[in-house]
Amino acid sequence: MTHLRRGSSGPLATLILILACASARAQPAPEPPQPPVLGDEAGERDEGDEGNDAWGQDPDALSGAVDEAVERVRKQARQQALQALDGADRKAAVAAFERAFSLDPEDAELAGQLAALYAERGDLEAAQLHYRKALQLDPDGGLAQLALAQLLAREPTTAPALAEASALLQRARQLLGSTPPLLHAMARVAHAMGRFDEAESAYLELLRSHGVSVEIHLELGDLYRELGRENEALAQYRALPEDAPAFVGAQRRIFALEAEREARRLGLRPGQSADPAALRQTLLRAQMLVAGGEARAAIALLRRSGERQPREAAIRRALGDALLAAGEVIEAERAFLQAIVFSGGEADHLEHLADHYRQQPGGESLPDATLLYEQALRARPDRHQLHLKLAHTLRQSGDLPQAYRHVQRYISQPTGNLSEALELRALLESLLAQGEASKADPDPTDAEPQATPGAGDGANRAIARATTHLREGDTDRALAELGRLPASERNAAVLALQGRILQGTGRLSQAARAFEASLAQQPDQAEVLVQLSEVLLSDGATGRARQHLQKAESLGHAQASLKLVELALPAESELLGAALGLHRLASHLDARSRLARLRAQKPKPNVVSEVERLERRLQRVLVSLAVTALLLLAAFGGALGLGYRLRYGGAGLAQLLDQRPEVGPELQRILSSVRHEVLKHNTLMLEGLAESLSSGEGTSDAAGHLERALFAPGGAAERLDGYLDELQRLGRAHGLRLNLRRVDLAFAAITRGFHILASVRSQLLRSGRLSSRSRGRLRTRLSRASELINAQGRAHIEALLASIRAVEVGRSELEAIFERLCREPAFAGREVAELQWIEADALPVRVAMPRAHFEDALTNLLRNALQASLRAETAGPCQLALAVRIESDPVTALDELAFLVFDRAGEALASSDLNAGFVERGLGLTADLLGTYNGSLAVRPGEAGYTKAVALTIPISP
Amino acid sequence: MTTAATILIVEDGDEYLENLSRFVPGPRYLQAKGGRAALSLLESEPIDLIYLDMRFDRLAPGELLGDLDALLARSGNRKKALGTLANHQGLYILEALRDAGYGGLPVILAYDFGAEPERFARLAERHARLTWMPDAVGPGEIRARIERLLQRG
Repeated sequence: MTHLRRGSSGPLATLILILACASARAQPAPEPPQPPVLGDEAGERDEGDEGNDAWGQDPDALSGAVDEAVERVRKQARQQALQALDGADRKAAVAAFERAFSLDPEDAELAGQLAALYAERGDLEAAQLHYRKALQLDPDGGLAQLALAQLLAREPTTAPALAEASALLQRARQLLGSTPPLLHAMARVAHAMGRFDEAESAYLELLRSHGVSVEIHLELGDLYRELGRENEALAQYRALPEDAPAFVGAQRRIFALEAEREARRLGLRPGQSADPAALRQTLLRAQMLVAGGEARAAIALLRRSGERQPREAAIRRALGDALLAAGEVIEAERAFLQAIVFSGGEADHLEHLADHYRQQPGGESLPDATLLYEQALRARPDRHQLHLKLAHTLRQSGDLPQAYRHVQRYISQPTGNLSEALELRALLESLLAQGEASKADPDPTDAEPQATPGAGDGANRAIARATTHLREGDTDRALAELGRLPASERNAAVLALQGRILQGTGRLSQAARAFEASLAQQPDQAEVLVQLSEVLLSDGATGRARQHLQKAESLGHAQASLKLVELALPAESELLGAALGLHRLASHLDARSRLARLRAQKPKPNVVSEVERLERRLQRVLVSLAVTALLLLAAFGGALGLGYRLRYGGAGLAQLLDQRPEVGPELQRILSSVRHEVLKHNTLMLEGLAESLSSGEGTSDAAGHLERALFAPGGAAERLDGYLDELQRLGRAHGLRLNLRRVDLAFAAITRGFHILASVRSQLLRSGRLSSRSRGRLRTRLSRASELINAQGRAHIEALLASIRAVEVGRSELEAIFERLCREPAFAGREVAELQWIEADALPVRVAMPRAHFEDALTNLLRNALQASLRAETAGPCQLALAVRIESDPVTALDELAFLVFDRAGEALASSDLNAGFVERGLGLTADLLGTYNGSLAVRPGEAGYTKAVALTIPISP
Repeated sequence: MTTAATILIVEDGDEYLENLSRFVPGPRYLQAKGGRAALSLLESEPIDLIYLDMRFDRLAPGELLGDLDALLARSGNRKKALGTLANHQGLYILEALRDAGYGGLPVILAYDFGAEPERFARLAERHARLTWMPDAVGPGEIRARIERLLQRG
């Protein structure tokens, strides 16, 4: 048989062989051919005919010819495929490669190329398959490893896919070195896995060694944003050139970040981003961090995301999982509860928390788990697995009948683990049967229908016959037997048996009468007492039932004790209500003693298990009561404390200014308004009226004028109230509760003064009719009010205005700002000359705005100038200059500081461009920020060889 | 108190007129609600002293004196420019009075320059008869100041 070369394509080779043989047969033979002998195998040779087969050909030569033919076909197919790659018809290219690969299925390069084509077409499954094939054929194929890793890291990805991608990239790096595509892939995968330091290093290495790339800046910016490093994120976004396709996307990100910052500054809640892909990535990262043992990092990541999307239930749930992994159980539970609240009670989150409770050791949380599973089931009745989970939980809680009900429901429509459900059902059946059996166990106190010696044969025979009927299930005949006895012969045993039969058949009132009659004859029947109590309980006569149980207990009946404990405890579903029943503490403690006494008697195993179950229930009730008591105490203490805090706690404006210096401009505005609209004319009016009262002059007009100025609608008092409200809102927006009337020095004095004025308002209206003594008192009170409002209050307001924080700025600070700017990634590798000083005599100066805001504003100005200059691409290093001047207005004599940033960029710029809208290039946000401090931006003419300047002006702080 | 004196109150409300009339009686008080009205009154009435408010935030922008365009060119910010004109309108009115030849009249500017002595010194160089009076003063101090200024002539 011809042996084909290993790896040859079987069917093709066979065809060629057949054709070759057919061709050989067609050739004229030198001698008349011998007909073939049936049964000859190919390859058998006639003796003496060396090297020739039955067809007259050399088999080795034929094999070689076939191999060559196959190889030619393969080469042709490969060539066609490679040619097709250059064409636009990708479908044809795929077909060509498929054909070539089918001819040579062990060519790793073909497999890889085919995979790349599939990936290009979006057929990711086929692409993955072929990359894996390529790697099977060539495990050292670095490019295939890189490509497969990139594919696995594509969204939507999974944790296992990312882990595999990471491993592939490590291997590819060993084979290929740190090429830009590989570093980029490593950065992306590390980012997706939450390995942020690694991702940052990879991105920075890419930028350092391989220059600026739009994609890298955007991705690195997104990474920094996720880490909460906003300034660095902004620097990356700003590094994109204007002509880059992603420039608009970068601008949007800048705007969104700046808007978030402004919202935080104003105390507003940031807008919630609802990007499902970003959320999914975040959750996946967190999951991978937890899986990698970095729960803390996952917690930090999720908390940051939670700040941006505070009501996202999925984030809360993931945070709960991360907190659990970090061992913070209580915090985790809180997070799970938040997930439930924010999702509006979705079954998923209910079930998740229930699962957690179920897994808690000790079984204390089983009732909570039960509750949550039930809620989840109500929300999603189609979730049949919840029945199985409920069944397990209820079994663990000891509620066997309910557990059985749920496992039956599950079995009727199983959604998964049927065998587990069947096992559970079998267990429950056995437990339930045990419980029944224990009830039937002979108990020394049981009033068995025994023959009572001396009671008469008639009664004994009736009992025996009735018992026989009962064994046959015939309760009516059993009753009839007992009923036939004359009344005089119905002893306690007969009546007790009658009662039991009547109870069993639901005739409870008749049963009660029978039991009572039996007890009347023989009071010390513990079992009858217990049975009578059961009847009374079902009739709601709890008090009487308790009495009988207590009697039975005194006779040593264990079940009576257990029933008394049950009576003292609330039902499982009423645990919350029980927590409020502090008045029942005594009965609970009594129940605990009862159980302890029962234990001490070393009862039977079935009783022991019941005791344990009741002890657990009791424990939960006592814990709830303790918590309630503590909460009440805490609430009382808290109410006292709150009252004190409300009255005397809180902060003043000085504290607000100290803790939140950014409130300066707003506070300045309000205080100036108070000074102008509330305090302005008070001194003149109050002192003027006081003078009139002293001198005995007519005061009606002046007093009436004062009263109107203060208390008429729109008067000073109403305006003061308005400004007080505004200040309170300002405090709240910055997280501080202000107590202006008691703690703040300025407004405590002013409000006390106005309170005095309000108290004399009626006297003002009738000042002309006051006695001299009353006028004297009025004058004293007006003087006191004036002293409080106009002296103390005003002085404290002036002090507050003076203290609105100003920052000293000198040359070194300004140069440091410039140096920091030049180190930003956007300017990496660009030649920037040292900042030139045109004028600096005015330095150092004090500017009336927080340092951070001033530095932000000036940095933005310098950055704008630098970017414009670099865009202009003039020869030599980029040069900027700075001048700081005090500019005095000749009319108002007001001094302002002007920081002029000079550049040589040729592009025209108008002041309106600087102040326009919200696009960062227009410095609109910077202009807005400056506006809050009464500053401004304007374009000024150039000087000293510079084409123009952008001036930042800000009032000088006195 | 020089009861024959005529004092021109320049303000955008009525508070100074009502309070001074009641609590610093004696002079004849006239009122102008803005710089243009003040200039017009000065042409027709003999005024001995001007009591000038600083802040005129109740006037419409068109009624404010001062070069809004120049302020806008310098600050690039219309809101800031208007704010400067309104909050320091008293000084722009003072400038207009001086330009109109009334620089020799004594002026009491209702503003507290206690924390800005250098600023007041520069203003005083420009307006020789300018004095200032804060709001937290009683009638006695206002009375004394008016008398002193009127005595100087």
